[in-house]
Amino acid sequence: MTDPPHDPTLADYRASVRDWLAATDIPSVPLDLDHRFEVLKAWQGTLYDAGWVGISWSRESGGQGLTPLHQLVFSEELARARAPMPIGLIGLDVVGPSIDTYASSEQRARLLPPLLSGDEMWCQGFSEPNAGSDLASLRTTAKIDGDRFVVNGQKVWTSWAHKARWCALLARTDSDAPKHRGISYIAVDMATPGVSVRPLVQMTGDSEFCEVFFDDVEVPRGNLIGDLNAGWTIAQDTLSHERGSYTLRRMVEYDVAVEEAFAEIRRHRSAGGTVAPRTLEQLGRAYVSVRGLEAQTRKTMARKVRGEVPSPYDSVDKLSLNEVEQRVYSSISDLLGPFRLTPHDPSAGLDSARWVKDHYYSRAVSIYGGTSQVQRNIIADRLLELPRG
Amino acid sequence: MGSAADDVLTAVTAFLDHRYGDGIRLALLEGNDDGASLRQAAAADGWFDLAVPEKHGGVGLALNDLVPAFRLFGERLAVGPFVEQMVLPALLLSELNLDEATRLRIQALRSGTHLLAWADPGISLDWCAGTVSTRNGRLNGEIRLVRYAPHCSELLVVADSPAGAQLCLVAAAASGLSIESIESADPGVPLAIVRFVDVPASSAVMADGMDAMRVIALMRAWSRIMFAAELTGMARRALTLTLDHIVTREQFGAPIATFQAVRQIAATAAQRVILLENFSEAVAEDASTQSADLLSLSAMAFKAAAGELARGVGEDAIQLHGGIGFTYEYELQWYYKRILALRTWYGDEIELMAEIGRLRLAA
Repeated sequence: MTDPPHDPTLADYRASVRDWLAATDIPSVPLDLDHRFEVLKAWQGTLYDAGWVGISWSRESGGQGLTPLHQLVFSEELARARAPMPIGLIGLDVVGPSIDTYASSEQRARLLPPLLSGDEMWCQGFSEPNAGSDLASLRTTAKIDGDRFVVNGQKVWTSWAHKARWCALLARTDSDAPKHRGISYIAVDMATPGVSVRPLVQMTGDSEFCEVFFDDVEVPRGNLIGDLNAGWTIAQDTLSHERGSYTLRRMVEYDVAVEEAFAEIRRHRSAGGTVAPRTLEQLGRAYVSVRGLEAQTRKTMARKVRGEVPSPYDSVDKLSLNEVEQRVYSSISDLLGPFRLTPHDPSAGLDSARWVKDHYYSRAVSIYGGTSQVQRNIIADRLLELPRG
Repeated sequence: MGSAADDVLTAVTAFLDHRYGDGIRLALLEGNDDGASLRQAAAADGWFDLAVPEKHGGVGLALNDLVPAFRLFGERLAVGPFVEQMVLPALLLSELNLDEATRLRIQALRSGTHLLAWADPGISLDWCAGTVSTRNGRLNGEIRLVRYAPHCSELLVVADSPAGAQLCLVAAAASGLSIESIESADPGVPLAIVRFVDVPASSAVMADGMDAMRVIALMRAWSRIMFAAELTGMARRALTLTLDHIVTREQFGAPIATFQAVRQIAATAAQRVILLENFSEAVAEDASTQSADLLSLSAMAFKAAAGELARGVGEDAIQLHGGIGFTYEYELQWYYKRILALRTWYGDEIELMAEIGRLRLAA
């Protein structure tokens, strides 16, 4: 493996990001999900207008035609300025790149610009009540009827479905084929009659994910992405982005989180607050974890630059991400002691409401995008090439 | 990784292929070979010149170019005073303005016939390894854990004086200095208690005050990086042995690698090893451009991760090997013991995480 080439223009690029951020009103992010969504959607529009969205996407697809390294520089500077990420990350980092790779030019022209600008959000119609880790056993069907698909079935744990205009749907289009070979990848307009969405309340109190029901939903055949019954390959590509690229964004967020926790404890101590003996070790633990993940993401970057997507190393990244996110937020939230029970009591020197919520949220990371156990199976199969039973 | 690092790695690989077979390794690990001939062969091969500045007759490589070689030492379980001979003299020569006599003593280490040991109370953060003080021009005190001191000819000493830290170079034969060999559970690595009774310090001081602290911090940072690199290599080898074992060992009529319980553990171990390898590359890559403070922090973070993850990999490796992994004759136990040894040296993960927390909180 070689490292990505050092690009002297990156420093200039970083400077231009900094200048822009310094001259821009950075929105504060409300905790409440609906407000947060509106604020961050507007923020994505602002970023898009200024040319900071789709940085490593090709110009033909509405992006900036730069490299993944430029994207990382931007994400880092955004985090450093304590500015939020755009809201449409499922579109930008997960589904969008697959559409860019597999969709026709007409589809790309229709779908990608509003995906980038944030005007149209995306969700991933993958998991079903009986198809979780065994995703390929999904039962939602898309029957061909003339120039349409008729979709019936149910999806679950679908993040942002209630806010999305489009769903990247995995549906069975050939029930006779072996299970991986009868699946197609279809873009479904969420406004179509027969689509109903029921938000599910998460442990955090937010309703970020939903159940989605498809009841005789008519979808034009032109919405098929890639070939009929070739959806599994595209799904692998999408999951690879979820496991690889997404790691880059999240890593930057953990980095900021750890620095914020240090800053909170520092202020607490200056104000005469007591600092429990374990605080140093726990914060140090969080710091070490993020440094390890940062080292890992450099390799992800190099892989992306070389176009090695998907790769079994995506699962190594995702497994590392899972462990690091959970370590960071449990290390920090454990420092609240009993004050984790009192969201607005400052006695422990940390923002109890925020860290407890982040900690709850971290329990999802080892489940979504393939559980840690699924990632380990992939590593065993495809990276270590262990014999199967 | 730069081409210099590649060249070093190629040369060290060839050397170990040629010179470091199972026989000599076992003799070293069991303490039946004091390592002198291996050390001299390494010296003849130029290992101890690599990071020495060119103006002192060395090759002038950066220390980060040696990191892959240290990983290989770990992978091959090559034991020797490599930090003491390849890293510390290079730092002393490049960072300090030494008088000629001292410089010649340091340069003499390159021959491999002279050996350096480092009496440093900083090898542990939570446990007291001893102290040495300078008062009225005399060194007094003891350090209870000094690697390679039983064979050393020169001793680097971290002492405290009324004016702050001091870095001294004392000849092993100096009057008032005693080196007591003690039993070592670090395979292949002799340990000693070093005692100082009125050892003359005036001609021994290489640096004091801020200058000494700066160089001591650098030496500790690079020790952490190199030990962490060795741990990374050992974890890689423990993983390789394990993967070889689980695809050949059969139970219930199939290789045990076909069982999910085994596969999951192997995959976890692989993820840890890959993360450590990437950590090692990132730290080496950053080292050339980082401030001294950041380098120290990176070194601690890498060492903390390496201590924790390599130990986990070693333990999973023993588990997946079953009984054979617990035997004396199989090589895995040597890796595990050396992992446990290096994990503690210059701070285990718990000590280092707390230290990182302390440093970052004070920032």
